[in-house]
Amino acid sequence: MANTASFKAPPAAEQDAVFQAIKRFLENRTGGVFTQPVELSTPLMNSHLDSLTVLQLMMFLSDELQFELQEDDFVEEHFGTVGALVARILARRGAA
Amino acid sequence: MSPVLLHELLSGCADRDDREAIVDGERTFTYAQLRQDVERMACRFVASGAIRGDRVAIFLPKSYHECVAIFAASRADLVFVPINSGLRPQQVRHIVEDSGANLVVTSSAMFGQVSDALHGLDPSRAIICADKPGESREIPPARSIGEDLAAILYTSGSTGKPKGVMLSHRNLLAGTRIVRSYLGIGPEDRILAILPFSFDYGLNQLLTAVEQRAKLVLFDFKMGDEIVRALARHEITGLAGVPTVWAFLTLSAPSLARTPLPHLRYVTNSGGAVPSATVGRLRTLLPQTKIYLMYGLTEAFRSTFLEPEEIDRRPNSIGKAIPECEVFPVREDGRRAAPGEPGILVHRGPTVSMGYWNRPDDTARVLRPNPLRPPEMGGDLVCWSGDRVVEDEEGFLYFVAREDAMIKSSGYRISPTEVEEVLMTTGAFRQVAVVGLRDEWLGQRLHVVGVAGTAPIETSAVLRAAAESLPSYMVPRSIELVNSLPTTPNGKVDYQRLVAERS
Repeated sequence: MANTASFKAPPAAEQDAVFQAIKRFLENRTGGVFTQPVELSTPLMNSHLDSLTVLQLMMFLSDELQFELQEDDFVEEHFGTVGALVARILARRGAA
Repeated sequence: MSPVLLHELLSGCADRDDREAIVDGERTFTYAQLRQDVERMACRFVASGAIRGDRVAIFLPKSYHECVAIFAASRADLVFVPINSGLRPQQVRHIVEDSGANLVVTSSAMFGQVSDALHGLDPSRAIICADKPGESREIPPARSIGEDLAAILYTSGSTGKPKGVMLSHRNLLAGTRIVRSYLGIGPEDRILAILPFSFDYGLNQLLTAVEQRAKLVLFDFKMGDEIVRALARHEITGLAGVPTVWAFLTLSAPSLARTPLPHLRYVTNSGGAVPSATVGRLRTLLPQTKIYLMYGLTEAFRSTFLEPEEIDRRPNSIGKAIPECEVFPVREDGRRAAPGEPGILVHRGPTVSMGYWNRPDDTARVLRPNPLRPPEMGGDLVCWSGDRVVEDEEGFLYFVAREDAMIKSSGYRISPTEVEEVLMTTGAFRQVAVVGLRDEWLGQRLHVVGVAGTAPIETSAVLRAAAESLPSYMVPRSIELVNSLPTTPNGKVDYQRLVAERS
């Protein structure tokens, strides 16, 4: 995640809102895939999520955080860890 | 001699034994290995005490072991009951209990899940971990015949819990032969298996590949780009998917547009209609690939397909009957519908199943005497689909609507009742209805319309409880609260109105 820090730092509150939304989905909507508390370092690609749950996560975030899903959102590098996904969504919202 | 039993798809053709059969991650297994492992696993089944006709539940991720277990069941005169590995304990328990399986095949990694799911049930049930060595002894040749039950596939019905559709060896082999012939599958094909084998359409990839000594690549994915990579890496020639797969490929796989896939000969869709816009995008992205739109219901295995040459002219059609079968709409008065006249899709032919396991009343509703010819004059039993369709002047069929409130989401047939029962157990609702709303990705998405109980509803807590008891494809996307649910004149919840008001 060191490489995301070199971009303009988003306000901490916004970053936390995105993180909390992802955490909420993963802890509450995946039926026990994440038994440990979700952190920024929690892996996504390398987890037991199935494709449908990844899609549901993105739909949930798109509803909660009010952005339109686009093709480039679904690139594996954004799903390395929860932190990587937070960075991607912040970048998306910043650009919008 | 042509095969009569499922495992006989593996016999003969010794000259092709060194061909690659199954790719599971980094490991590749030849047909010789597959046949040997099937024999060994069948011996283990028998050593566990299973006898002819017993059900063996297979609860494994999509894997080489799962393929072995499916054929081993047939070799040992048993009936296999594949269980989707994404199901939660309560569904697993229901399937094992309902099918009366006294043998469960799983892996050491999933053993804990199985024990939890079966907690408190008859402990005499044997559990085999396919990845561990076990006791085996030589067994005599199989004694089953083609009419014997080969598999029970669980599927949601409009009432109650999932029901097991009974398929004979003859049904499965007919489905294999028919689909292979119209897709032109041969020994040089390399098929990507992304659908579960607990789904008739997914199972067919395994059966057609084995019948033809083709190569089957087992694959799970999280993102569309992974599918594209697998298609290129394994030079895949055939891919079967459901509408959500095509959404993944056309809406969320940036690499598809820049990855040439010259080997991809065909793709097939089933498990719900693909939106015309998605078909259009697929045609642009895969200009060399034939697209087959198919329609089927587990109760008749496979029913219709549209010739790829017709897809530009009628992208909304489900086509015509598959070979060896007859499929036509029947009006409410039991007559065959004329072109333009809607009717219930009725299917005749060798893939018509044996009905629902242990549910004679439900079976009588879906398997009925041929409406056009009485039994004493040679009339057969036909499959009544519950799907309203219409035929055009040229005999092409079009899906109109379901007769009931069943939902098709991400390729799965989902019973609103099953989801509603789980929602009611949270105690949050006085009354609740689950409907399918149109969705670009899922075909239909699950939406809850509920009447709150005495306490205010905490949506996230309800969805959390739902996610604990339901597999991911059955967890609703959204909850809406209303003061009361609309009803039909006879007092039932008016699902059609609920959907219409939200479309």
